[in-house]
Amino acid sequence: MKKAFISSLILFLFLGSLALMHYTGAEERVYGEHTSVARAGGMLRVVPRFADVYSHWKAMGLNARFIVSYSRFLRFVEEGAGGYAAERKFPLRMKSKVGEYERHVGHENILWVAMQNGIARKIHHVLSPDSFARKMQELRGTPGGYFTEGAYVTNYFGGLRYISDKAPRTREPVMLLVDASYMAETDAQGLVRSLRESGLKVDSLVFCLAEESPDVSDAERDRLREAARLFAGSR
Amino acid sequence: MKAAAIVKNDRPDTGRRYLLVMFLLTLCGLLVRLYGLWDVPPSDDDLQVVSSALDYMERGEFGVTMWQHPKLRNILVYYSLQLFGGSIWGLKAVSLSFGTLSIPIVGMITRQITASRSAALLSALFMVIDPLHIDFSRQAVQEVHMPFFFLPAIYLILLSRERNNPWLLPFSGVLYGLGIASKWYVIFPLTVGLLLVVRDEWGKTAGSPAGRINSLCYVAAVFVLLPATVYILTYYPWFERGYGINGWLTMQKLMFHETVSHSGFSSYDMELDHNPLHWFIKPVAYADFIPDQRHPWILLAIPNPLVWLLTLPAIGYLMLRAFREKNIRYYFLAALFWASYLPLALSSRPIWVHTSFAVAPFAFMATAFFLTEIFKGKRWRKTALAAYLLLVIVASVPLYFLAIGRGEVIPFLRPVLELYRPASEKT
Repeated sequence: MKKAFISSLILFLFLGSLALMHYTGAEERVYGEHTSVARAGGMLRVVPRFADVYSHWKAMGLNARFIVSYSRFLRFVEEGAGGYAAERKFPLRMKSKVGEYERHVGHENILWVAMQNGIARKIHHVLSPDSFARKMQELRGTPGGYFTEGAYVTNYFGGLRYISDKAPRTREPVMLLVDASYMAETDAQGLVRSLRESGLKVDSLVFCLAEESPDVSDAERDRLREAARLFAGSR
Repeated sequence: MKAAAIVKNDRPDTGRRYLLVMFLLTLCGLLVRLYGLWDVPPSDDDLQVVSSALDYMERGEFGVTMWQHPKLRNILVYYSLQLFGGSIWGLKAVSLSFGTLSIPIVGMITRQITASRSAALLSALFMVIDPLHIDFSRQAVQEVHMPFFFLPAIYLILLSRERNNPWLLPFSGVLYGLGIASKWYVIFPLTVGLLLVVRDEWGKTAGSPAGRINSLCYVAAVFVLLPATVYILTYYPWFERGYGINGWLTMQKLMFHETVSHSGFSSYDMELDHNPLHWFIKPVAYADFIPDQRHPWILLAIPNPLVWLLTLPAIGYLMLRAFREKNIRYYFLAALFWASYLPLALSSRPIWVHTSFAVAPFAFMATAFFLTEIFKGKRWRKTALAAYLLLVIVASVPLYFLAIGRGEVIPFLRPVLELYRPASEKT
């Protein structure tokens, strides 16, 4: 009887710990009012630069979120490894670098900064088709991740990242960011159709013109503006 | 084995002498791990461990070093820093204490398995003077954390058998869980422990199917669910980033992928011997470099060949004795060694000798048993053993200075250091 009791207690502890961990995570996520992306025209913001995107996210107070990024680039260049640094002597004085990262947010690193500062816990990169094909070639044989159906799964020191050419299938409301570089291989109607068909729910929808990015052409920005008009008209 | 058999013919003063010698060995172990530590600046690994601990506990991020390993180290070092601040104690108290306390536990297990106090003390001595264990007891990384948890877990299984007390086993399960939360390699000694207990329970419950099911469920709960519970709880700071169980499973898969394909963090790592098949057949080494204004610190850990190269003959002897005497405890020790060593030895990825902490304690136990048995009896044999031990200790002195970074200041050790100079610096 005693063994059965202890076994049951351990099973309860095990299941309880799974539940505790799962719901601890869920409680940390901060969402805004969300809706299907097909009806999110009223929520759409068009901003000139990535620093504006970041400011918008911070102003919304969103935390521990799933960001879906449509772009030709990963926008994940890291500025330094880890959140702390110290001189090589005792006593160790660790200096936090996290606050500095925000001051340098830009077209190359916005998603990395969002992950460093806790806005993003998970990022799904939707790359334009050619860009995705090139990236998959690069990633074959490199350690640190694995391929699954239509995506490459990796992480940044515990922060999950998915690289794909398609939107994720998820019921969780996401923060959706489309930047003008994505328009290199599609047009306004194509983007709008793609977003509507994604089935995503969003509480933040931002189109970024990427004016500070030298890799984005005016034609791409114009196509994104056109997509924004089409989208806004479909509220 | 009954308690009486272990202590048969022991007088109280023999027992006290054994405890005194074990205490002195442990104290020696602490002193050699402390000597000169204040002169050594923090290494890159040390700094990254601190950064990782803060990243993990305050931001839920895995941190910059060894992200593919489990996270208990981050938790322990974080609280050590909270207790002792940014001092050397804050950084290294966990490894120092775990490394030191592993010494008597190795002896306790050896005694349980071999019923020999001499073998117990000898195995503890090997741990005291092992340059690799000394080196990593002085670093913040988690290599010596592993044996600190799985050794008492094993001891509790043996004690449980001796006293026919199954209620010790949950504590063993918790310790195994903490060990796996330090490094995954602890799964191997856990599996062997689990199989031993299953074997025992199977035998005890013959003729009672309900009792057998009850016992096996108990064993599964203690050695599978309980370690899993402990393991997942160590990820609490990461879950606070907003993740759920699905995300955790994805992360474990990523960690596994990295673990099975990991090939070091620098090109120099590949210049070091990274084949576990060499560990017990030739001298191997692991080196760390710490830049400093005065002179670079080179921590060169070369396990004592006079001990390590006896491992395979010792294991062979142990297995022969196990077979001849049908001695389950000897089989158990042999199984612990092979189950911990073979997955590493047969792995296709590079594995450096600092991963041997999952294996070395069992090697020490077997070697101690081997030596005390073959040198038992006539006076000349005891003299031979004493001479061997003297050689081991004499050989361990220069190896010790190399391991604590003093090789550079001792002229006759410089040629040894030169052997491990990075290829990019050789003219």
